[in-house]
Amino acid sequence: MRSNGGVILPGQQWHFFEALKIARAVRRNGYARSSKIDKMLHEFMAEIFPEEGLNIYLGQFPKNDTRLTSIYLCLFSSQTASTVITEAQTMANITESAWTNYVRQELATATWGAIADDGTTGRKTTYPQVTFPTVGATGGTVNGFFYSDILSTTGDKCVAQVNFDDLTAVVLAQNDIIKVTPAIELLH
Amino acid sequence: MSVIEERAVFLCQNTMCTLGSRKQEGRFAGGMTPEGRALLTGEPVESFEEGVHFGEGVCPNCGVLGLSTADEDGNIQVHKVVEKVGDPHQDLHDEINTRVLDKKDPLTAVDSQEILKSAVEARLHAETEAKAFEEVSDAE
Repeated sequence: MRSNGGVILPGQQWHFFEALKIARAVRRNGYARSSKIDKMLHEFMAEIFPEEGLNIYLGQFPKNDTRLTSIYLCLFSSQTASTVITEAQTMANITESAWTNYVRQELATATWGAIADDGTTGRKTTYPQVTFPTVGATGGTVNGFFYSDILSTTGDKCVAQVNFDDLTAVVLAQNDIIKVTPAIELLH
Repeated sequence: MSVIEERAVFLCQNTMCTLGSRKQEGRFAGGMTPEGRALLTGEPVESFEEGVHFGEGVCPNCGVLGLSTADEDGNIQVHKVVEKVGDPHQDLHDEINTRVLDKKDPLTAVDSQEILKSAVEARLHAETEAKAFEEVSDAE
């Protein structure tokens, strides 16, 4: 990028943006060398409480919607292993796994584990590991999991959608079994 | 939203089975295949009886006959596979995922969702602008 006494001339904007991108990349590489932050970065994966999920969340607290006693753990094959829906999207935009024998698994609210600190970033609760049915004749690819408010696949809402923390799609073939340990953390 | 397939749901009440979580009965649709049974037990497929050792209603994880979810009126719980509208931005998802997987690209999973959101907003904005332009052009 040419310097013009700090003035960016028409036609040079892209150079400027390119420089910003490079500077950002350099900073990110710098982060990657710091073990503490590096660990933090690797623990992040794409996740979202879409608007319809936040409505359910706020309905439970502070509002007085009917108390949920269960939510349902579901797997999805749409989006990718490192991206999830955007905030305004809904369950209609999520393609749920449909491999042979697949059904949603119940997560009872009473079974979630003790709430504890996760580092200093927030508070977290983890559910015991959940095993899905063994894959039958037809397999599929799983990009992550989501929580649904009801068992039915019609009229349901997505509370939150999450990729797996290793950002890797799971390709399921006959006789494979997938186990998921769901967790929710709220940051300060 | 149309229903592509309906699958009867069964509960596995075998406390030793890993299906579901250790505190909730696991649910499954369909059942165990003869090959799955052979894999689980090491016994020959020829020795299995359908409906007892394999088939619909037999837990695909442990091989024990599951419980029907039928209520007093005979209504059983079904898992509906429904056709979704899909994600109109799937191409953007794929593009970003490719970048995240590319080790030479500085984009990481930390930023992937933020980039996706910006790209979707830019696309929606461009579509709105194009529509408005078309309307003005038509009016003229």
